[in-house]
Amino acid sequence: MGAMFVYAGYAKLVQSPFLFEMAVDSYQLLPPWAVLAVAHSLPWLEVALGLVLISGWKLFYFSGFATLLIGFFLALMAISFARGVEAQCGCFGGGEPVSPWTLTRDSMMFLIAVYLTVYSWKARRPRATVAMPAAPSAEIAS
Amino acid sequence: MVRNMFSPLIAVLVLATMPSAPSLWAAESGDCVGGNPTSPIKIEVFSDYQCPACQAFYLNTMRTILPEYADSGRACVVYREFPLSMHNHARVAARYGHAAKRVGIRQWSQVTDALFMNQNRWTASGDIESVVAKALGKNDLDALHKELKDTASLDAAINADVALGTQRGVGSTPTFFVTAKGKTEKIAAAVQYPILKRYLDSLLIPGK
Repeated sequence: MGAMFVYAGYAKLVQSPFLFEMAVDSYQLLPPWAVLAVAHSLPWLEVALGLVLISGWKLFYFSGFATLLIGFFLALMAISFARGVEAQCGCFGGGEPVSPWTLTRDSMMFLIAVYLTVYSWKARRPRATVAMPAAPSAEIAS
Repeated sequence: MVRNMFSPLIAVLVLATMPSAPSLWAAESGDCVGGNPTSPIKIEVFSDYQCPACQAFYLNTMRTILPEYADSGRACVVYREFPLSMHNHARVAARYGHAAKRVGIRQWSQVTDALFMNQNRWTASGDIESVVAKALGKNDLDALHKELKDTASLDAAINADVALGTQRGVGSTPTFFVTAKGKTEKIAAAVQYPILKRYLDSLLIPGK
């Protein structure tokens, strides 16, 4: 998941930034200033998120954030597709139109992100569920 | 002396053999509807008159690109017909658009403005003729009707545009191709003017 995020950000950074601006604009949801803000910050955010996920630091929080981010992208793509807006996915750079294939692919990524979040949440739990030595009962004490 | 005497006659003969004014500025598929072929940027748009995204792209973006970039010779704008089968009046509208292009660039511009500005009206009624009639003067309308009679030729030109688009991977409208510095980028979206302007300006920077 971390490598995927790093690759997604990298693919956007190596192509012409103007092409990614147009991909973001193709969703027809944002005014030009917001299109520019998203287009210029998202690739760096993805690279940073990917590196943090690879490192495993605070995995529960960052996998949760990754799940929300992919969920947000997925909802955006699904809404655009349902509205008949001919949006560019822009997921891994390039001019890939939103299609049933891109929706399926992002749904799979979303499921993996959910799994990772649940897994990291469960991995945190054992500390809280470690059996504590039973306190001596009042009867025994007396 | 003899040369001077015949000069007016020669001039009249030359003028008589020149094409009439409208056809002098007429365009065919692939011709620039703005700018000239030697412009550093070529923008080739595959568009459908009945598609709402094409309407937004033309009215909000290309109508500003045409005077800003094409008229100043910085870009050649080519409009190609790509009527989608799901739009029941798109083919007829494309015939009007292409016939207007054959009459002249100004007439194409007037007809395209009218068709996109009144898209909701003629899409509902199918009455394209009344929308176009209001946009053109009598002479231009007569010339348009003359071109419209040649349905087979118009359909052949439209089909050639569609075939070219399909060959280049056009799957939705508007899709446009920007060619500059020997490189072509395909963009399948109704991009806003400020965003497209940034891209075009970047292509005009020398050496970049």
